[in-house]
Amino acid sequence: MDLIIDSSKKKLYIGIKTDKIKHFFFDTAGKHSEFFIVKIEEVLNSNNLKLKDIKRIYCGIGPGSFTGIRLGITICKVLAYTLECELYAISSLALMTNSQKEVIVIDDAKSKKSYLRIQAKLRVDILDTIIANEEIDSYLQKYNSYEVFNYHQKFHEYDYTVEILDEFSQVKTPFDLRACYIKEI
Amino acid sequence: MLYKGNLGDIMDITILAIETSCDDTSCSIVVNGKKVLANIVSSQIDVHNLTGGVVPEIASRQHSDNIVYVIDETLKKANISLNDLDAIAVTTGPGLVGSLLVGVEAAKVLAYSLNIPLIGIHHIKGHIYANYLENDFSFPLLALVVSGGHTELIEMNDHYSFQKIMQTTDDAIGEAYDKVARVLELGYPGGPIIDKLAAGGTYLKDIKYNNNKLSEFSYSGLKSSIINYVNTMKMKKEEIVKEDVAYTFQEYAIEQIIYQVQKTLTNKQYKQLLLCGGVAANSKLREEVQKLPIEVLMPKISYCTDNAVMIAAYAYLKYLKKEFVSFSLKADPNLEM
Repeated sequence: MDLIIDSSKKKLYIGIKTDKIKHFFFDTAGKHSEFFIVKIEEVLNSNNLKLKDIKRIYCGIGPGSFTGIRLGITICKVLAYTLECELYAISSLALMTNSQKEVIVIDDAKSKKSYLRIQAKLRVDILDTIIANEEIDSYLQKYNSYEVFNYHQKFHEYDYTVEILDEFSQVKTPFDLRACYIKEI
Repeated sequence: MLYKGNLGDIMDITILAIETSCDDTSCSIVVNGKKVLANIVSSQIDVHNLTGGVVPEIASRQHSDNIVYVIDETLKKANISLNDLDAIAVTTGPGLVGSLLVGVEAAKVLAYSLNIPLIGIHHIKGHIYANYLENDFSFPLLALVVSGGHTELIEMNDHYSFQKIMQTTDDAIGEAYDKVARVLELGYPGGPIIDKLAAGGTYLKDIKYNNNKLSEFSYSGLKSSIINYVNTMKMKKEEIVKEDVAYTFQEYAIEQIIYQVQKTLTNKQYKQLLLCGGVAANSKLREEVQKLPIEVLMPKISYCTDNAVMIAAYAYLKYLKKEFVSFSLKADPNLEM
């Protein structure tokens, strides 16, 4: 079984993949930390799975909420360490989209800025970056045929697909999993 | 783990503890709150020296980068496997929330995946129990907690009761050390640097300060006196002898501690005085407390600053009382005693 985690966004995401993939989203009212392990336990139990069934862990490494990213990274690293299983990383912006489509992902980065990623099927047009909110319109015009994801929650929140798992890159050891914050402190 | 011996069953309790409340990522494995099998501290001093203090977001990032490495090193050093552990302990507060969270989440995952109890520890109680490693406690006792964030007197009547009887009305003593060090352009952290420098200094009569009128701990007045002196000297373009400033500051800073402790000791018949926290490593303080008419305990210098050994030490006493916590445990930056 594969475990997929992304905690960089408002809703806590936990995915499990056996023969097919199941997605779970949790509204934690900004308290991912208090719910994280409890929800992993709940998801595994309700699907009759055990921790030791986990063969691979997939982790969204940001960009997004700094604290959220860190929680996910820390949990995935320690879990991969204790379970001695494979660990994979992916951009949280790539994770929330459908890799089979042409998409423009715009996610709120606070202080009048946004995270941006633009990809068309497996080709990445613009790799994860940060832009000022005034620039959003010009990107939307230039890529007007592309599907918009989470332009500050007005569009699709996510379109998780099983194919996305192929795009994760494997991390050699749990020590090497690093966050992708992008935004400067 | 359970061992069968000549005297019957003796339970040895092996606890792995994590402490990430500020800028050090620390992990330890301690048996029965006394026997240290391993203690690993990954310090961020070099990172924070550049800014003259801890930047919370940077500290959190470092913790998250280092945590698995530190846990792995600790297990290797102790030469045991994850399955030999009986419980996981972690500092839940007070401290920097982003830093605490990394430790708390890592501890939860360990306890969850190993199916063993999780124990949450108050950072200051940990500092007090740094003394438990090499000594046994006699109650009632008075714990003097002196660090970068705390200047407090705590009364204890048993292992599980903590009553704060005095605290600072403004700055903590360690904070004053850091600020004075910054004014003198000495670097971070200020405590050890000033302590070392003070050894080669003499008293400056131009720095005027009186500790005896204080009803509680207070360090903002002393800090201001030092800053005023340094600024005045700079304005007059006169030479500042850093050793002398360090010496004079330290004399007043420690005199205040001793004054308040002495006053408190006359109120009640305490059996022991415990020195706790980062400033417990201060050479002047260690020297002066030994002149007091009471049995004094102080931790090894290496266990005065933040470390996970002390967290594991107090976690053992909580383990005996089965004070375990659930996985919804949260980090609390303002956790009360």
